[in-house]
Amino acid sequence: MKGFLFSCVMLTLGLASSAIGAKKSVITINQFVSHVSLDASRDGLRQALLERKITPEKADIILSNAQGNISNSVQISKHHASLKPQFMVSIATPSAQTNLKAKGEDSTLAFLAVTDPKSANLSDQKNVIGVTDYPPIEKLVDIAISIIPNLQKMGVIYNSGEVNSIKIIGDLEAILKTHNIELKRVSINSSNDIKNAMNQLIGAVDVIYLPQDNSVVSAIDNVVSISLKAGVPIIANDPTLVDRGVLVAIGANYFDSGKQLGNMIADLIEGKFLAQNIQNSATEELKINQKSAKSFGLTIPKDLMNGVKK
Amino acid sequence: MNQLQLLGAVEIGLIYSLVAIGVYITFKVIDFPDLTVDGSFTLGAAVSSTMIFAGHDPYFATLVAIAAGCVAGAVTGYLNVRWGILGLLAGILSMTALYSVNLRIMGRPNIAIIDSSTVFGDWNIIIVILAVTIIAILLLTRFFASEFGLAIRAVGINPKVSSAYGIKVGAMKIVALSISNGIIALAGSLFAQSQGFADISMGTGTIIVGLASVIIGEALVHPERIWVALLTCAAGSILYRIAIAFALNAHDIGLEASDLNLITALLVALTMIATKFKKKNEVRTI
Repeated sequence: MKGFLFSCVMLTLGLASSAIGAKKSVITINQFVSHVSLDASRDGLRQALLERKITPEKADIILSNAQGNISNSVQISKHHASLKPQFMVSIATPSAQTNLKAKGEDSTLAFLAVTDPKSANLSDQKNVIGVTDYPPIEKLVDIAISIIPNLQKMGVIYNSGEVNSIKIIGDLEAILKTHNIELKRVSINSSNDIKNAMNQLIGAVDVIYLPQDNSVVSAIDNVVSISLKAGVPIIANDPTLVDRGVLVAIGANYFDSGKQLGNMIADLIEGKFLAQNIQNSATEELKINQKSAKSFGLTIPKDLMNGVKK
Repeated sequence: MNQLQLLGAVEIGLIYSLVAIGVYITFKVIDFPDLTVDGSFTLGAAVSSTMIFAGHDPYFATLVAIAAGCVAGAVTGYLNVRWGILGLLAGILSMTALYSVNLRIMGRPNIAIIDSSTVFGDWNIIIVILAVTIIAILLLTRFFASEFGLAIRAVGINPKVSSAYGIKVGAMKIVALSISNGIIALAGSLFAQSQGFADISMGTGTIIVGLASVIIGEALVHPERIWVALLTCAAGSILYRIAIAFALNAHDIGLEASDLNLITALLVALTMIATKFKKKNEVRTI
């Protein structure tokens, strides 16, 4: 009980002190949920701000995490807006939408980890900047065709409840059509369904594509071990997944996307103009897992290897 | 905590007070542990956002959302009453099915309606929701004082005796579940309209928030009259949000952002413990 009373006193003191030191500029970060990619983008953002000398003495950086709950996210957005921040950063689509509703006229909304800003109503808004993570699907398809001989059927596992996955898979299907490759979709509701989904695809497809889907990525080790056993390679748009056994991935590095947004914010603070308010992630990284390639008996073309980041 | 943060907490608390009232009807009035809530909240958001996005009148869309919620509740009741499926499981089944149904309705996991007109128009959101909550409490108070409403309350207190007095226990349960989920769908609809979007994961954890609000409210007041009980649901819901508002300020004392849920839980637990201290010397009436 004493300990709790102590922390209550500290809380009150903390509230009082925050009211006194108000004159600095404020940057708030509303992160929807914690997972590898989102955490990486947040860390990239903070590093870029530090590198551009936006230190804690110059600006208060306030981080909140909605823990995957939208009503929390709404309350966080209102909380952040009440601090009259110069920039309201949001990581992931739901946070961007709650921030958009809550933000005042003087604050600039800066979003990360949003694939489709248009359908989330984030494009064409005043005072909104951001870095989208739309993946280079077309390049990935070309690479898959060059590595996997006689590619005719591609499988995909995704959560039908994730807006980013839906958008990407729609576009993927259109691209595959031009190559006469058939797409077999399997949707899951949570990470627990992954084994069933894999079993549906094994034997029916030549390769499996994983979108940047939170439910699928959470079960990545499971997916990879089944794929290695069954001899069906996995491709993806998240290079960090290659270290976990995915055959090949090309796409944005979330840490770099975060840095990109951090630099955009720093530019605006320094009074510079942005070439584009909403930019796609500038860095593209290609990664290939040689061990997986060997176990599938695949040879990687030489010219492709030159593009691989060491 | 500044004034804007308090107003934000009150606004969200008021919307969720409708959830708490819906949960009160099932958990307390008819003693039915209904888990349809997570699904019907999103259902309300999904139906109204889809219709508003398609250009329908927002008032009409909200009414349809309420009706959809009523149907969802009736399905849970039907599974339980007609087929004897355990209430807990019947609710889980409806909630699970509603996930897919909501995706079907929306056609995609997220719909943005921030540029569309909503029931809030140019009015202040807090005032509109306060009015809706007061009207809901007034209507429910009258309803539960009517012969039909009293029959529903009797079912919750003693189903066997009610049945002996000629009350159709099953039908009463279905009606109560319907009303409860209709109100919760209304909350979902208003939430989506006030925030300018609907998302498939919107309902996650709604039942926990609703239940916590009911229990916090009850611990503070020990209501005996139904209108007091409904009012304390609303108070509990707002208090819960104020606890979160405090937790959000915790970064000033060096706590991590990811501690949010822990701090919220601690603050709610402390509230409950405090009420025990206050009531230590009183005779408990149940």
